[in-house]
Amino acid sequence: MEILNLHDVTYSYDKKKNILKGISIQMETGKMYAILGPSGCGKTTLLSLLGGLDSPSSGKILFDGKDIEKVGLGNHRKNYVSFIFQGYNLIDYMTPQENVRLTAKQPALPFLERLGLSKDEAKRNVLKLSGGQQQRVAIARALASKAPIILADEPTGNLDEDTAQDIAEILKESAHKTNKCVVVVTHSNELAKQADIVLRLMRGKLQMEQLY
Amino acid sequence: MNFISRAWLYIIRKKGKSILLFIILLVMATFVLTALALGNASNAAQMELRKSLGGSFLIGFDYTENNPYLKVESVDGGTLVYSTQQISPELVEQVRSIDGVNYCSATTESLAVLPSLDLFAGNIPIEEEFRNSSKILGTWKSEELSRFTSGQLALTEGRHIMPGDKNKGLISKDLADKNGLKIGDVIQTDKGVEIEIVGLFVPKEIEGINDQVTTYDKIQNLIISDLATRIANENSPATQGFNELTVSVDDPQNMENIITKVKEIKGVDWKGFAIMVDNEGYENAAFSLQQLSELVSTILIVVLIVSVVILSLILTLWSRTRVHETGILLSLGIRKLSILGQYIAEVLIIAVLAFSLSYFSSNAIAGQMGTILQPEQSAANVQVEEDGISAGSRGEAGTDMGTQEIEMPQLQVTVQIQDMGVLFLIGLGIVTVSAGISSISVMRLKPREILSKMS
Repeated sequence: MEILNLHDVTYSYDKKKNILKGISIQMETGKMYAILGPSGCGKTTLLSLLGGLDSPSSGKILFDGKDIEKVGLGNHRKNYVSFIFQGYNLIDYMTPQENVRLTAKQPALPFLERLGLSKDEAKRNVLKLSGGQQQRVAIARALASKAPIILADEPTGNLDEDTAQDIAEILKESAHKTNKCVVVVTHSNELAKQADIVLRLMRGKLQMEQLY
Repeated sequence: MNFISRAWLYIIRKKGKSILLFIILLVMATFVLTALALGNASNAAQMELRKSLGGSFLIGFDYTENNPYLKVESVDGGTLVYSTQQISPELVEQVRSIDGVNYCSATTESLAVLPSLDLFAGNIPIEEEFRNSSKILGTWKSEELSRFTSGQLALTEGRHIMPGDKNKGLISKDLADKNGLKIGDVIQTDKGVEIEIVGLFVPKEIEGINDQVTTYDKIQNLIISDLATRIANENSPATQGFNELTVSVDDPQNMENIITKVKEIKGVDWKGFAIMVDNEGYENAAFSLQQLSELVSTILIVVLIVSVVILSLILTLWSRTRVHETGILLSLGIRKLSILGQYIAEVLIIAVLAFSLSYFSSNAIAGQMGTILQPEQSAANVQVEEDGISAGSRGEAGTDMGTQEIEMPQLQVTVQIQDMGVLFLIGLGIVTVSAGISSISVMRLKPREILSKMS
């Protein structure tokens, strides 16, 4: 089911040079998208626009057929989008459970246990967890939020190969089993291989890649 | 998770910052509460001083050419100066009914020849015609006469002169004993005016052997009567009311207000009267307390300004370290208002704890401050108007200026509940404003800008 629709979206930092040039794409629930591209090509910017962290210079982004600007970017972020960042972005004075509860009203422990954290680990300060565990907490937070869209920015960038593989599978599973639309920005071909659709951002334009 | 829960987690997990902020707020609150307690103590002491010293003003004839009612007449080879507008009992009644007025000492006096009385002789030689004369003091209510209210005279038998009395009088017990008089007896002036004795008074002191005093000025010869007696005895347009009205007020600070109300009384042309304020005693005694009050006000303002500056600086520095956290919370869809609410709530929770505990610290310090300041406030010499021993010379109220040691009120420096209320009101306001101002720079950023700063 189509959930996100980008109509001729452009973006410029300085109003002189467009970093995104007329991007149009439809994204569906139950699928995992990977966006590849060289550094500085605008991948994170595109993710920010999808997540309502910023507004396009021109064009529209529709969520479920409604312009997210009109719905309100704060509202869009709160109800429809979950972010997963390369740096995990957990609140450092909270436990994993508390981090998950920031957005979720439901119990946090089942989500954390599903992602491999023990009860004891779920009650520790997040800074006392390994990088892989912290990223699992960030994913648990995204999953627990009930948002239909998960936007992940280099989610495996700081992780070892095995852990990165685990995380990639968790994201794919989230798309397929929980019917979420997962959009991953990455440099990693290994992660991109897990995606249902691979997109490449080149010179401000988005092109669909051949599936691995 | 709501903003209060997040704030609470921050406080208990970031112990170092929380303790530092707690100490800053505790010190700030202690200073503010101590200053407030000192200010209140000083104000209370001033109030007590005002109540104990009181104040008075005199309403009398204006003897300048500004008085359109002034008459100058030649009588028996002399000159009689009087005002046709005099102080009526009705005016005294109206003045007395004003809030804050303690006593109204209305008087009119002159000499009267009392042929049937054997008077106490003075030691200043006087002319034959005055040898059997004494002073008759016409009054409105003798119990409000300053001679009675000051304790110079005390009524020992009978009753006081009341408004509406006619041909009634008080004499000294000594004079009554000397002449075999008692309450109910009648004495007569040379003009045939009868005065029924309704009370006897005893002076606190009588003139000493070395004191120079005429017969008619001797306090033991004084006759206190009603206005009707005076008018009947004089039978002159110059005596139709009281000459002077001394108004004692309970609070010298309220004096101006009372005088304004007096001047608003209808039917009186104030061109004919002069009002003289006697507030010097209070002003002298209250000077040091007023200085303390001003010092406390200055300290309070300085403490508040310094507190706001220090608090804002610290919170601004801390808020810059929380850009990352703000970005995370925004990216999770938590609204700016909720994030701002969390930051303010963190400071407020600590502030409430610090302000509550400052009650004990400030009480301890305030007690010490009170002890330190007390010796300088123990006593002060003030110049006050005192009633003289004698009945006074003609045309004067019989008053002297003297120095009196006034015991200064104790400074009761304790923190009151209302001080805590003021502290919470001001303190929480400052804390909210400081926390709000310090967070504005972060809150004004767009989520994307914050995330850029994060990376």
